[in-house]
Amino acid sequence: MSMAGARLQYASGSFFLPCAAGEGDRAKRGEGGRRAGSPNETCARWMRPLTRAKSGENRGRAPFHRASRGPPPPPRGGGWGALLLAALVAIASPALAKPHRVVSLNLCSDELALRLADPGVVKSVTWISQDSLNANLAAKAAALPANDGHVEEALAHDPDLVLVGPFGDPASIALLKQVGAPVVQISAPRSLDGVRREIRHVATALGEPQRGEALVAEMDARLARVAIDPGRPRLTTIVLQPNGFTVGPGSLVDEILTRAGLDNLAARRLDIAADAEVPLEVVASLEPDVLILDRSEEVAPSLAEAALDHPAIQALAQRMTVVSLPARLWTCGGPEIAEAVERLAAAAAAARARRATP
Amino acid sequence: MRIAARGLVVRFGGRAALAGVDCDLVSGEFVGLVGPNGAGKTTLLRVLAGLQRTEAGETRYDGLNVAELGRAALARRVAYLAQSGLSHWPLRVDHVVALGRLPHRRPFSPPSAADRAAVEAALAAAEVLELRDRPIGTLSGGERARALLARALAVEADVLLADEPVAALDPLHQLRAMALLRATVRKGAGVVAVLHDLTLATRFCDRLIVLAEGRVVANGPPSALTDAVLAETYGVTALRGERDGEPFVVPWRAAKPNPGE
Amino acid sequence: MSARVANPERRYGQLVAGLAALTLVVALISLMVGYARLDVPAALADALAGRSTVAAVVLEQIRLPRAALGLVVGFSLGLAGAALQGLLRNPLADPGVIGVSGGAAFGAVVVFYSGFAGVFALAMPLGGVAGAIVAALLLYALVGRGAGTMTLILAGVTVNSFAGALTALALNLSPNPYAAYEIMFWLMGSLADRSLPQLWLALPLTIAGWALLFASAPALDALTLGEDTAASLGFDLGRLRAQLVAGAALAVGAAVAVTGAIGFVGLVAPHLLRPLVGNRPGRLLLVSGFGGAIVLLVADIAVRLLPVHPELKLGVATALIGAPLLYGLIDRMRKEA
Repeated sequence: MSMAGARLQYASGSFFLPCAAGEGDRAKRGEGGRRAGSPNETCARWMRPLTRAKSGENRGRAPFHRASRGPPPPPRGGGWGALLLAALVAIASPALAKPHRVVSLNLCSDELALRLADPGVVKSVTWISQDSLNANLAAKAAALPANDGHVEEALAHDPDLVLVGPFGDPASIALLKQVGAPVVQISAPRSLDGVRREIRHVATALGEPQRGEALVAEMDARLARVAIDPGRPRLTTIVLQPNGFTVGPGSLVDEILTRAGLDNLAARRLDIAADAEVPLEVVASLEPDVLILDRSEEVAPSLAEAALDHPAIQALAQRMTVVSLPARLWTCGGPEIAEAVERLAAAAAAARARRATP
Repeated sequence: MRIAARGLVVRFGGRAALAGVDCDLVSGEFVGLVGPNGAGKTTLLRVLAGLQRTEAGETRYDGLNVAELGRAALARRVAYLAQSGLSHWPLRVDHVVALGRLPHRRPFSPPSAADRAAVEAALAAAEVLELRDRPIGTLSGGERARALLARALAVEADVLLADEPVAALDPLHQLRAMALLRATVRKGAGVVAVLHDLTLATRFCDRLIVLAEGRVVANGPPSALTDAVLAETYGVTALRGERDGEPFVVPWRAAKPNPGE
Repeated sequence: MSARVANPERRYGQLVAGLAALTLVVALISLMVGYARLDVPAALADALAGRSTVAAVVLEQIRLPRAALGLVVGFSLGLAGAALQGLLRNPLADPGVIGVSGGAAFGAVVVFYSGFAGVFALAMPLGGVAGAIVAALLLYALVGRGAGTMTLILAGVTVNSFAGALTALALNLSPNPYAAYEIMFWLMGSLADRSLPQLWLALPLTIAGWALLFASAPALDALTLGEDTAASLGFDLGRLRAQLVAGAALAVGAAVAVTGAIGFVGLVAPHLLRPLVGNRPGRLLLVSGFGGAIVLLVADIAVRLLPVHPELKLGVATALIGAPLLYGLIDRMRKEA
């Protein structure tokens, strides 16, 4: 089974309904209700950490049923301050060990954990990571036991670090803390800077700050290789997602488009403040140079995705470059973003070439 | 047309509505079907109209059974007037009467001159001409009964099977309707009418079939309604008389007086 | 005498012609209404000349299917409503109210989300037809002959509840996560962004349904006087019932498979037009078809002009008109009883 997020837009703002691998039912209901950035943040919710047990407390295998766990966790808010402090503490205390038993309850933290941690450290990932249609590291993830994003499943592995997503159920998180399991909550980045921050954040939590830096550097290098000629006028584009949603201004995907040398017409010409449902007619009459279809190679049908197969789009394909881009590349603000940017830039180049030849 | 029924048996639940009935009907005869409540009169009429399946026995129309005759031919030659005078939609009277021409009309062609003439004749005969524009729901019970009778007449069938055609009518219209039915018979059709009013039945009918408990008790001219038959089937005694060549019977008294009377 | 009889015939002819013309006009207006500014005459010229400009694509692939489906689906719903009312002898019968549309939605949902429709495209409308037939049979089993209003409404509620629940269950069981949230489309219906291939798929079954329903016109007239009288006038009631159920299932089922269940059109159109045909069920059929098309097209135009985002589901608009009408009808029938 594969999952992608479904998004319903109401007049007062976005209302996310991410996939189940995350934090159980509350995540499914889209708790939070406030706008996050890009519409394609399906399973990943990257938020500033609400709380973080000091990684210094995790000495090897720490039985979670122990009553007291030392000093209380740092106060909420001031996430970056806490991060900095914890990083200093971690660097200053060579006696502090890295977590050895990591459970990830969120698709995007799964991916980062699998990339950054040593083999054998990650004990369980969500079942969505094992689906190659929606996950980038399916092969690696398939070797591990799967979880549904529920707290009991995490505890069964006796973790010394639990990674949860941005819409983590506060009750679940409180429960984890109560039994003494350290929790790190990731957030949903709305910009490339945010992506870098989150990679570093998770890397530090895992005790692998250098690897985090390396991942960021690799991503930056790939981004830098995407050559855009600043002098040329940008090609216009619109992103079309299931249910006719498009990408609004100020989101991660919007920035990705800009990085690829494209001009997001929806952000500029339409009167939308966030991701919004746009009628097919409007998409067609805006006449973008490149039409980006956010579709996955999904097996099970839905009306939302069938909307992307509309004959009008196929007819438009003769007049503009239509590119399919699977959602998994930009669902999680991870290093795959670089691949998304590369593909988009290539599509833009193809569109330019096509324009040049009569 | 000659309708011949033999050995009709009809059961509803455990009860036998008709327990072996034979009867013969022929055009040119006005037959009254009489009998107490629950005797099976309506059931017999429905069997003759081809509307009711029988457990045993069969009905033949000029020697052919229903399957051989065909539903369409049966509809043209046998008209049925139901007891409950309902019209689910408030149609105009002339449209209701025009429904009687459906067996003769081709499905989507407009009514022919013959159709229109038949409707006019039926409206006139049933004396509802002046009501032709009125929705049938706005008519009184008696007027509605006449309108529905006109519908049955419009079929111009060989045999008209009428279930209590005059029950809702006032005396004037009862007499006129019975006279109309008799006139229809004189023109060559056959009429079988279920009647509750023995006086009317004996006055106007050529023949009476008396049913009781699903069986034919008597079958013959009005004189067949003897005192014995009356006492046995209806439990009444009657006054008899004759006027202008029309015999009549008036139920007078209960045959077995109530205790204490 | 013949002039008096000819006049009603001519009046009927005029009524039909007038409604047909009005339907066409509203359909043309529907072509001109949309979310993007479209120069319709230019787009039409492009389309006819074979130039696939954006305007031509929008007109041909987006607006035309919407208007055409509005016409076809509205006609089917109005016609089926009139036919069902004739069969059940009850002015409250409507494919939505009695559960036929709900059953069709379930049938379509099963076929679509199981992936079967991806393999065999015609399976989609056929699924809708199958669902509609099952719902109609269920209803008939509950209602039997002579549907009293109470029984009919209760039976309709039962069938609708069951069909709706099964539809929601099927959607939740679908592996695709979007599916669970598409219940609104199936239960309330929409004409938005439908496509020409969908129209072509549904059309043959729909037209077959229309043929069966129209063929029953004389029988419906006869049924006015009750089942016995109708049988005595030469109509085979068993065959009539089968014909009407099949015709309604074909017309409604194929429509619902494309647009979801849109209710009340089959209630509103016959109710408004019945007095104009002298209450005759046979004549009401064609007239009600056009009436249904007009009602649905007008609702679809309204839904696009209303400043409500996302676009209001069509079934919501028709229910806003139809439900109060149903209330009034029931109230009146109660008082008359």
